[in-house]
Amino acid sequence: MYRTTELTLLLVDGEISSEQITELMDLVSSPQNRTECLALMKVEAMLRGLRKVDAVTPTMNWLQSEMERRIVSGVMSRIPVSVSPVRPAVTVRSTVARKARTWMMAAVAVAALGLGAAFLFKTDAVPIGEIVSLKGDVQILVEGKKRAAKAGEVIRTGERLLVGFESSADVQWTSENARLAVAEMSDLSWADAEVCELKSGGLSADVVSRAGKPPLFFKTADATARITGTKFSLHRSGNATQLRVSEGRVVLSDSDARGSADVAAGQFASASDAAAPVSRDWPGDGKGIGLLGEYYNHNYQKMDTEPPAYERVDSRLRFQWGKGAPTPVTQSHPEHFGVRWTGYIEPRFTESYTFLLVVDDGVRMWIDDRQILDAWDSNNAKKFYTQPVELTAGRKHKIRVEYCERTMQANVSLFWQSLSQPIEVVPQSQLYPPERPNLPPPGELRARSDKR
Amino acid sequence: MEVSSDSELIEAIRSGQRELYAELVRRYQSDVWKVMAAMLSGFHRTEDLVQQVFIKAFVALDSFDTAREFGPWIRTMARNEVKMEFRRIEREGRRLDVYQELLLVEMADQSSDDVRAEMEDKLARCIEKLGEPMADVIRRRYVDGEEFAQIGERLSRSADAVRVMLNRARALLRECIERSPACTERPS
Repeated sequence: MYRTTELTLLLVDGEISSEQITELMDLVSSPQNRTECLALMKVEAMLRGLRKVDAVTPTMNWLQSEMERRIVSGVMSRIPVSVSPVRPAVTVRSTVARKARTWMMAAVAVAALGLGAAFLFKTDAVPIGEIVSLKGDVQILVEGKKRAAKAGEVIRTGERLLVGFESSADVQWTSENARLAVAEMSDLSWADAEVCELKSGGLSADVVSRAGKPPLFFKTADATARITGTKFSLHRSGNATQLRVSEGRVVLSDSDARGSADVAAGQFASASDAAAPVSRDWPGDGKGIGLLGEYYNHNYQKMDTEPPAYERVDSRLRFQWGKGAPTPVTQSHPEHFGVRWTGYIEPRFTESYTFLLVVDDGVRMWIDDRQILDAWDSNNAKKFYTQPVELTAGRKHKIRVEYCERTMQANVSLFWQSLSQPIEVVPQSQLYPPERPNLPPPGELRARSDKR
Repeated sequence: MEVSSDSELIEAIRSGQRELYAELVRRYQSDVWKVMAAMLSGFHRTEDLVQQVFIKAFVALDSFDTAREFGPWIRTMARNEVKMEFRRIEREGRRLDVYQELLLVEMADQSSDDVRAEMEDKLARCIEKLGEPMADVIRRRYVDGEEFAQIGERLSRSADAVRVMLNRARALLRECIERSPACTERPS
């Protein structure tokens, strides 16, 4: 028997090893083998359809017991309100589930390679709306190919919208009369015309009331938000999904059917592997004015030993200096400058936080005098996640961020995220300068008098 | 028994004759099974999910538009359930692309009823062509859901020998289906 045949059969039987999967992946990169593999999968799918199943008895038993329960508890409506957590006569068969998983994983990978097999796959892409406007790096990924998106372009099911760093896109979900403002670093797609999937990033949505129409769904890996007409924002970062509602109501249900939260205007809820969603009031903002930045012109190497040339209270860390410099300098190519930001950070939640630094070039960071990131030797544009750090709501934690520019492009941005905190540039309201006499007024770049 | 159309049946269920839902399940359970079994391995889990689809359909029955056909509606629900199952699987393992998931679901159900019926017909004929004992192994394994050891006992062979025979049979089926002509009758 051919090796492809042999491996495919192991695959559909859920008995393939990971080495064999790798081998099969190699084999199906040739079209001939791929056709063979997919044809066998199709035969398997058809063979499985031969089995006779009896869903009548268990379904009717369940309905009967549900009715009795409702009569006993005095709820006489014919239709149960929610159904998914109540599973009739189910026993967990974990080995079966594990086998199923192996097959699925590999089959997905083969399917991804097998786009050419038209007899198996026919995806009719349905237009769902259009990109009204965009800023920066916005791309559409379709069938493994990326292309730059244009304003006015139609988006279809099966396509993924990728919004890059410092970029954004406004999407009109035409068929459903909803407007989405998609935030930077987002990845979203439409599996169906009524289901928007957010893999990462965030969006703010304005959905016109859907009286008489089925609800819209926004999904992430952690949860599903059910929308009947409302304004809200939804984020997914790290391993959590956060929903904040500004108008109307949204039901956020956990993907594992552990529970759901009814989130009203002014409230938020988050969902993750660790916790089912619970709705809470969004905590108020702090009264911060920003961090103190100390700027070294072209001698970041001397940040530990010499006073800075300039200082300024910066509302937040979100800088794109490009090939320029933050301070007045004489060279035509300002390089080797450094900045130290110090002060306090006030979290909204008592949780484990992770910070994200998008920088070019080096960066290091401390919270409460503990170093949580050292990427000082980095030499080009990168993203760095810090170690997680436990912060307490309302408490001002000491923060220090040091940045250096070596050559070429210069930029630095500081984001934060936690289970409840959607990823965002740490806002001014939560940042405070150190307690020190003679601080410059916010935003004013002032030369340090003790500098030679 | 009086034969009623799907929409008559649904109206009756909505008006309170809940027990009639059994008939609706009977009519569509094989369709739903085919959609789901094609993409999921594990008989018992799939059976649970089929049942889950019918319960969800019952809950949502009020929103069903009787001017439309029930078959596509329930099959869509089944597809969505498979998608959700994928997502549950995915959460346990590594992350998969939503688009790839979609492809898999399409693979299970995108072909039209005609194409499906034709393929099923081909499959049945090809199983016959296999001859015994191979055809028997296929039927025991897929129609009756027997384990390899069980089949082996009946055929006085080892479980491994049954497995080898099943693999051979599946490879032959794949060739046979490929070669067998479409079932269209033309005047000679």
